[in-house]
Amino acid sequence: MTETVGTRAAVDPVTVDPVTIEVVRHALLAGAEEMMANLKRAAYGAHIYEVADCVTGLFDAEGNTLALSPGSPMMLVDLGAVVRDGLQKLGRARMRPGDVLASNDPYTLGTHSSNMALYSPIFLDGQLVAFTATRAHWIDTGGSVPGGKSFDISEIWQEGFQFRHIKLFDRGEPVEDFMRFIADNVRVPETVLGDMRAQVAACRTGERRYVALLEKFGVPTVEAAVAEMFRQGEELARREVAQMPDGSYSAEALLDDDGVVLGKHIPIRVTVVIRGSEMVVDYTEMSEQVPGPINTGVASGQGIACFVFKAVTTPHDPPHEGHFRPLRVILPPGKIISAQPPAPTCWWSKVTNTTMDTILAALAQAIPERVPAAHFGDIPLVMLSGRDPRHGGKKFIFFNPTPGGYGARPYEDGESCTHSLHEGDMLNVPIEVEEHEFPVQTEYVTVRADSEGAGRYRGGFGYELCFRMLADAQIFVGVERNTCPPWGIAGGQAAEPNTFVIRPDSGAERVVLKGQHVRLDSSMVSIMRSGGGGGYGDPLAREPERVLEDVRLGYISVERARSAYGVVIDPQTLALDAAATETLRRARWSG
Amino acid sequence: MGIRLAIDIGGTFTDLAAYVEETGQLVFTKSSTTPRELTEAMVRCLDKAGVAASGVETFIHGSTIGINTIIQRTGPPTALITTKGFRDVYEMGRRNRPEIYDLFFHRPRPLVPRDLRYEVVERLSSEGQVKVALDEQQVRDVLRQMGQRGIAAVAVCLLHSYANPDHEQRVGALARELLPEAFVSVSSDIHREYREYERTSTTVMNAYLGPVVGRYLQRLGERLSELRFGGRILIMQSSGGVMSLDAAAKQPVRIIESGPAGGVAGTLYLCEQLGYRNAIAFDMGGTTVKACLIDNGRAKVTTDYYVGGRVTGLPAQVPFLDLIEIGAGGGSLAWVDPVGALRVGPLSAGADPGPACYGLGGSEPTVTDANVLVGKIDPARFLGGEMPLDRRLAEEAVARVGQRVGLDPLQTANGIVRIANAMMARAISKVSVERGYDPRDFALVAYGGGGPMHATALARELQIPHVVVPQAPAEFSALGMLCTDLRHDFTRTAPTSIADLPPAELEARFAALELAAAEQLAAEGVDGARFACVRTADVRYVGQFHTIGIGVPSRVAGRADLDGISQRFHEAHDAAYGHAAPREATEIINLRLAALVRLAKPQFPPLERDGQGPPPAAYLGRRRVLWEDGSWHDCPIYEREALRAGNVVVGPAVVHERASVIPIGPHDRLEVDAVGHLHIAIHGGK
Repeated sequence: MTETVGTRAAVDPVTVDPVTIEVVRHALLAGAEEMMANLKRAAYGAHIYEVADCVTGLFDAEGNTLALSPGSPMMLVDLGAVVRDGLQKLGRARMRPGDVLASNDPYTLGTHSSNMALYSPIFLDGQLVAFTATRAHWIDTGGSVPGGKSFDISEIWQEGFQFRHIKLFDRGEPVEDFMRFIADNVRVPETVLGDMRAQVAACRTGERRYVALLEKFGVPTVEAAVAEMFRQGEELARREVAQMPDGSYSAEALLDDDGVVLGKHIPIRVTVVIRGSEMVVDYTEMSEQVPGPINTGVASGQGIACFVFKAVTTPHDPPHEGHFRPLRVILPPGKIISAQPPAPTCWWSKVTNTTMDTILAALAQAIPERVPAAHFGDIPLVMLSGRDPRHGGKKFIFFNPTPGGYGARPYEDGESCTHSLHEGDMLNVPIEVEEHEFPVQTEYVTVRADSEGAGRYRGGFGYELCFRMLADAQIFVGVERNTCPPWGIAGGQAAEPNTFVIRPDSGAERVVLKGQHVRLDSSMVSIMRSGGGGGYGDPLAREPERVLEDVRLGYISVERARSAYGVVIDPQTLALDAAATETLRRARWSG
Repeated sequence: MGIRLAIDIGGTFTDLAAYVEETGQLVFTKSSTTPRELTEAMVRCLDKAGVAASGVETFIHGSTIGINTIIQRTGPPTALITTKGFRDVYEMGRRNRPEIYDLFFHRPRPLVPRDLRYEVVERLSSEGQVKVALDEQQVRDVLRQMGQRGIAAVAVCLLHSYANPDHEQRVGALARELLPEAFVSVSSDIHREYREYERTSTTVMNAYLGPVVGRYLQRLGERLSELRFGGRILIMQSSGGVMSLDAAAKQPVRIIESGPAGGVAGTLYLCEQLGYRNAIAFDMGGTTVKACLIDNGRAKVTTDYYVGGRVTGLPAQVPFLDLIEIGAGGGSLAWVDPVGALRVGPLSAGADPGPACYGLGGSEPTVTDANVLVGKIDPARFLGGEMPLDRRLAEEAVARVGQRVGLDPLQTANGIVRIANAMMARAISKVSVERGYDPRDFALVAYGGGGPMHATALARELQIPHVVVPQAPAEFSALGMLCTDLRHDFTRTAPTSIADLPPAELEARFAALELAAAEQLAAEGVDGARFACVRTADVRYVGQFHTIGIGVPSRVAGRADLDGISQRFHEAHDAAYGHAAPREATEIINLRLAALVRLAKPQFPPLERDGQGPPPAAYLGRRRVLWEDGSWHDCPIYEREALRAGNVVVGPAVVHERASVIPIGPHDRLEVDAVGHLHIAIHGGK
C-alpha cells in the first residue's frame, strides 16, 4: 500500500528540494552554535568565558563559510581565510583526519597575532570534505610585553610566537613538543593551554556534527543544498543593493596617530561604488601601512567591508559565503589594512571601527535613511598586568572592554554604553567577578553626561569608569578617535571623543595617550571616558520635551540643553521655558 | 482525603486537572483564558469539571501573570537602591549586541528609569569586608524622597552583598520601616550569587512584580474563599517545585515560567512511575515548542535565564527549569522569502485568526494546516469534534505558498511539516547534544496539543528509541502541577579551592543553608523533620570560569567526600566537553541547596486490561496519510479513549484522542500501559 510522491523520484542528483535546503541550513547553524557553546563553557580566560572574544564556524573543503556562530563580527568574515591559507601553504595532501592546525598570521588572516585560529580538516571515507575552525584571543603569545600589546612594538616578532599552520594535534594525538613550547613561552600557561584545549574540543564537536549531517543526507545532497543556500543568500543581498542609487560615494576620516609618530594623523579614505546589484568597496586611497602597531592584514580590510555590507543588506540572516558575493573589495597590498611583513599589528583594533564608520559615512550619501551617524568608534582599551599579592604574587594579565555611544538613527536616538561595532556580542567582565579575580577596585561607573552628539535625534551616551589598582601594575593604553570625534549626519553634531586619564590622589588629571608608558599603584585612580554617538538632524529641531526628559534624568545638563539644543530649562525647578526656547531657537535659526 | 486541584492559566487556555483521592478519579478540562479577570476562567473550569472548591484540600496554581507583567511592562513605579557609584550598572547591562549586524539594534528596556535609581554611601570588598560603612542617614533621606514620589516597590541591591548581606539587610529594614506600604525586595533574600547586573535585574524584577502578583494572589484567595475553599494554596515556581502563597507573594520572580514548569514536573513524576532515569520533556503549543532534559531523574535547572529572550530580555538569576523554547508551534506560519526559500515561523497565527483551516479568517498556511493536508489531522474530529476544521481552506492556503516554490500542495504541506520538525529537532539538540548528552539514551515524553503529533517523526530524526504520550497530553501542565514537591532554593557564592577546603568547613556552610531552609519551611508550617535537601556545588578548574553543578553528599564527613566531588567534576567535564584535566586543581564557586518536601501525588487509575488487539470499538476506519519520507500509507485509525491496557498497534497507524493526534510510523510499535500512557517503540531505534 505504499506509493511515492513525485518529488522524491524527481529529485535530480544536483538539485535539491527547498525543504532539504532548509533542514541542512538549520543543521549547519546548530553545529556552529554548539561549537561556540562548548568553547565558552570550557575556556579558562575571562576574555573568552565572559567576554566571548572568539568565534567558531564550519567551512567547505575550499574554505567557503557554511555557518558561523554569533560573536565578534570582525572575526566572522576572516575565519575562512585561515582555511584557504592553510590549503595553499600546507596543501590538502598533508592534512590528515584528527589533525588540529594553528595559525596566527595577521598578514593573511587579518586581526593581530594574539588571535589564534585552530582548525581541523573533516574527512569522510578518506576524502577531505570540510573544515571546522575556531578563533580565540590568546591572552599571551610570548611577546615582548604581557598580553602582546605595546606601542613600542615595531616588528611582528615582538608580538609573540608566530604559528603558520602548525600541527598541534597530529592524527588525533597532541604534539607534546608544541604543548611544552607553548607552556614555556607564555606568561600564563594555565590560561593559554586551557583556552587552547577548549578550542580543540570545539573543533571536535563541529566535526561530529558535520559528519552526522553528511551521513544522513549524503555528500552530493548536502553540497547541492549548500550551493542553493549560497545562491539564495546572494540573491537576497543583490536585491537590497539593487535598490540603492547607483553612484560613487567617498568619505574620509583621520586616525589620531600610530602611537609612534605622535600627532601625525592617518587618513582613512574609502570609496563605495554602487552599480546595479553590486557594491564595490575601494580602499585605493587608504593610508599606507604605518610604523606603529595599528596595522592589520588583508583579511581584516575585507572583513570590515563585509561587515558593513552585511549590515546594510541582510543583517538578520545568519552569515554564509553567499551573502558576500555581490561585494567586491579593492585593496592593494601594503595599506594599513593590508599590511605586509614585518609591520606590527598588535593594536589592530584602532583602525577597524573608524574604517567601518567611514564606509557607513560614504553610504550615508546613497542611503541616508538606512545609516546611523558615527559611533564612539574604538575599543578604548587598557591592558593591565602585574602580580596579585592576594594570590601569592600570581601573575595576571587582564582587560575589560569599554562601551560607548552609538550614532543617532534617521528616526530615533542612538543607544548608549554598548560595545563597539567591531566587538558585537561581546560581554563585559562583571565588577564583582573582576574584583574577585584581579587586584582592582572600581570606584564608580556611570553613563557619561553631555557626551552625546546633539541632533534632532541625539546620539547615545558614552560611559565613565573610575578604577584603582590595589597592586602595582603596568598598563598599556590604546585610545583612538580624538581627531575625528564621532560625527553627526544631516546636521547632527559630533559627540565627545574617547579619553583616558590618570589622577594621583594628590594631584590633577593627566591624559594618557597611545604609546605613553605608565605604571599604576594604589595611590591613584584611572578614568576611562568613552565617547558618545553622533547626532542625526538639526538639534534645534529636537522636541523640547525630549531634551527636558534627558535633563530630568541627568543625561544632559541644563547648560548643554541651552547651548546644544537651544532649549531653556530652569535649573532649580527643571521646568521648560517654552517661550524662551522659542525665542532662542528663532535667533539661532536666523543667526 | 479530599481533592487535589491544579489550575494552569496559559495565554490561550486555562486548564484544570483534579485528583479525587476517595475515588482515585482524575478529571481534566479546559476553557478559554479570560485576560481581563484571570480568575474567571478558573471558575468556569471548576463549573465545567463539576469540582466543588469546598472539597479541595490542596490547590496548586500556575499563571502567566508574572511573564505578562514583565513583557507588557504593566508593573508599578519601582525604585532601586544601590551602592554609590553604581546606579547605571542596571542600565548598561552586559553592554553586548546579540544581533551583531543590526545597526538599528535596541538594548533591553530597564524596569526602573534612571531618576528612580538611588545611590547610598557604602562599600564592601569581594570577600565581604566593610570598606566604607553604610550611611544610614542618607538611606533615610532617599527613602523619604521615594515616599514623596509614590513609590510602590523598592529593590535593594548593593555591590558584593552576596558575600556579606549586613548593609543590604539594614537598608531593607529601614525601607520597611519608612515605607510601610511599599513592597521591598532585597537581593540577599532572593539569592546570594555574584554578577552585579544579573543580581540587580533579578531583585528589580522581584520588586516590580511584587505589588501586581500580590494583588493577584490576594484576588485568587478571595475568589476561592467565595467558593468556600478551605484548603491550602500552593504556587508553581519556574524551577518545577511549588511554594506557599505567602512565599510566592514575597518572591514573585520565582513564578515567572510557572506554566511550562508544570509539564516538566509531570514528566519527572511520569519517569519516576515508569522507572525511567533519562527523558526529554517535549511540549508543543500554538506558538512555540519547549524542550527540557531530565538526566538521571532530575531536570536541569539554570540560573542564567533571560525573561523575554536573550536579545532584548532581562536576566533573572533564580532557578528556572532549563527549557529551550523555539518559535515553531501548530500556529507557526509557513512563508516564502524573497528569493524563494520555504520558511516556517517564527511568526504565528496565534489563536485569532489561527490556522487557515479554523475558518476564522486566517489566510496563511500554518503547521496545523499542513498536518490536515497530509492526513494526520482529521478535520472532523479536531478537539473531539467540538471544532470541525475546513480542509479546503487549508489546501488553498498551502497551495498559494506551494506555487511560489514550485511544489504541489501535498509536497508543500509535507515540506512544512519537515521544516517544522527540523526546527523542533534543533530545540531538542540544544538541550541534549549541545550539552554533551546523546538523545538516543533518552525517552521522548510528548505533550501539549501538538507534541504527540510530531513526536514519532522527531524521535526517528534524532534516533530516539522510545516515545511516551502520557494521559491527558493537552492538559499535562496542569496535571504536572499535581505531581510536584514543595521546593525552596538557596545559593551562596563562596569561592574556595577544593584542596584547601576543610571538609568540616564545607559541611558547616551547607548546614547554614539547611538552617535557612528549615526556618523558611517552619514559617510555612512544615515540620523540620519532613524535608529533604539536595546539595549541589558549582565546580570548575582553577582559572576556568564556567562551572558545572556537581552533587554533594548529604553529609560531608571527610576528605574522601571532597575528592569525590572533584572526581565527579572531571567526569562531568569530560562528558560535556570531551576532555578533562584530572591533574589540575578544582575549586567550588557557589553552593546551592534545594529543600524539598514531598507531597502526595495522584495515582493514575488502572485501565481495563485486554489482549494485544485493540477492541473493535477503538477502530474508527482507515485514512491515507502522507509520511515525512514522501510515502503514502493507508492507515487504520484508532480512538485512544477506547484502547485498553495491553493493546498493541503496529504502524503505519494513527491514534486519535480528544485534543491531539498520534501518528505511528511504519513498523513503529505502540503499546498501552496499565494506566493508559502510550509507549511507542520507534522502528530502527536501538
